Amino acid sequence: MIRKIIEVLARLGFWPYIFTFTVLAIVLSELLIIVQSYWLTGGFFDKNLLIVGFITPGIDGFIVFFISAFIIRYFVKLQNDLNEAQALAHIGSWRLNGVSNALVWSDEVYRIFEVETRTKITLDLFTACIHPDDRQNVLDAFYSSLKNRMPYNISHRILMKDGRIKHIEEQCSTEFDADGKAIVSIGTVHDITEKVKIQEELHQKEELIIAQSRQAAMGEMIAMIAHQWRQPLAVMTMTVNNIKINIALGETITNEELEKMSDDISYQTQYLSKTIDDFSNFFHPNQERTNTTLSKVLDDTMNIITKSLQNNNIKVNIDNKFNKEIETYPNELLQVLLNLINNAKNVLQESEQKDAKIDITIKESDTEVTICVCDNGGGIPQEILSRLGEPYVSSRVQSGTGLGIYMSKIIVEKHLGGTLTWENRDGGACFVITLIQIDSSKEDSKLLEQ
Amino acid sequence: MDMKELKKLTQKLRVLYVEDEDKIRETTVTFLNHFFDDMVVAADGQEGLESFEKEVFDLVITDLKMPKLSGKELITKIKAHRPETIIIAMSGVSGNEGRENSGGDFFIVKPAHMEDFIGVLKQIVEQSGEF
Repeated sequence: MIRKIIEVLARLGFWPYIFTFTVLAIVLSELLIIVQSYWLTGGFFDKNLLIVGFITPGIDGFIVFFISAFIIRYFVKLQNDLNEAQALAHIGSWRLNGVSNALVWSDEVYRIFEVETRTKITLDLFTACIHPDDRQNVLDAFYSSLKNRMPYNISHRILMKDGRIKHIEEQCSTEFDADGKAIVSIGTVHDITEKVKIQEELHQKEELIIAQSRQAAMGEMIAMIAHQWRQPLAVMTMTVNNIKINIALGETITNEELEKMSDDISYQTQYLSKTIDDFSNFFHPNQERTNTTLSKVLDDTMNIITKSLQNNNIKVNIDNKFNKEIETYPNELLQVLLNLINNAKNVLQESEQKDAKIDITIKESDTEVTICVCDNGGGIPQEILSRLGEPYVSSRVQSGTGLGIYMSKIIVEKHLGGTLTWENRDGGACFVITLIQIDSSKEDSKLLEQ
Repeated sequence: MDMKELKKLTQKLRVLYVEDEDKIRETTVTFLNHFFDDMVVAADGQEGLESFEKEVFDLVITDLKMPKLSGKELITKIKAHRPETIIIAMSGVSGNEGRENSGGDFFIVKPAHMEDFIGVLKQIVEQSGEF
């Protein structure tokens, strides 16, 4: 009630507030004098004392109340500023008395929880607001923070009366007495619904881009299969032609000739089915980290793409003197390598470079392994260099989707825990994958040295 | 015109065949030997050009995608020196793109079927009545 009056007065402005408060103070102090004089005279008003009392203590009271009015007004103003700041930041605060279990919320907490201001808050009311699926977690986290005397920090959902869900982040710390009993817990409630919504939207956008880039990668993969299959299909067709032309011309074929032709066809079909294995291994994502070497992953990659490079007259130089094991996701690494090499191939094709070549170098140190893919296709245009790796940014004018490097960067940095960087070097572009080396191989090599 | 008549007409053509893929070259040569008695075989564009500079050919059959000197470049050089040479371009690139850009007189898509060859050879023989 008194708080309400002070708030209403404070809202009226400075001077009306001070005036009203002072008048009230004087009236109150004079009433006090009347009570005092009544009490001193044993029930009878002493006229003189009353007059003196009205004049002297009245002025004292006036001064005391005038100053206290300023102080109260100052605190009300501070309280208002804090409320406004909390509303702006969507951060409310609360205080829980560890002895009496009394819980007090700031105005912003009422707004966040959409509970009518000044409703009496109990722990039960707060618990009822928590999303049912999160309730146990929140209580467990709070009580375990009390038990372990650790600060409490949790993000959870709250369920509004109309079924809407809000996301909040809570932090709290508790003071304890000498016996370790909680005296008071003070905490904050941050409404992060908007932030979570934006994150979800970003996540969905990222998922969409990943889906698009996977489709693009499939398209490129089919082009690679076409390259792989072209030669065996041409050989098999020509072998069949050779049988047919003999028949058409009425010429005889010896058993030896027929056997050789059958062997040729059989060899080519084996090659075709091996190709299918290479590609289907790639399409089958392995879920577990595996110990492998970069050389092995590079070999598998080259099995898929070599034909496509040969058909485009691109030379590949591989410099690899290392064979240490790393723990990684081989198929994801293969996808990135395939993408980098295929990109280099496309750039070389577009630039119509005469001595087109791709240099692949594997290097190792105690702590990391790197694999560089460099081409001599003219490099990444300067205006693209800093933006490459963002979705839909491509250095290729004609055919780039702008998803390959973006996708490769996500795979290397988010899944493989490494880095993917690039620079222009020696008339071409260089892409470098760096992965952390596991220690077991170091131990092995130490043992070997001994 | 049956196959034997066609063979009689094509046998006397002097032919240069250029293909860089060993296995394809080997099987195609076996096939072409049925139609041509006088055939020179080259394993890439550069080798093909060297052979062309030494002798006169009526017909050149060439792959398009090859190292050193591509089929397209070879065709351009041949047509610049002896435009009367008949050229069959062969490539895995299907559709109009390969056909129109090759610069050759005829185009066969790989993998090439016997009927494709026969069709082109018949056209060549019919167009050049003197053979």
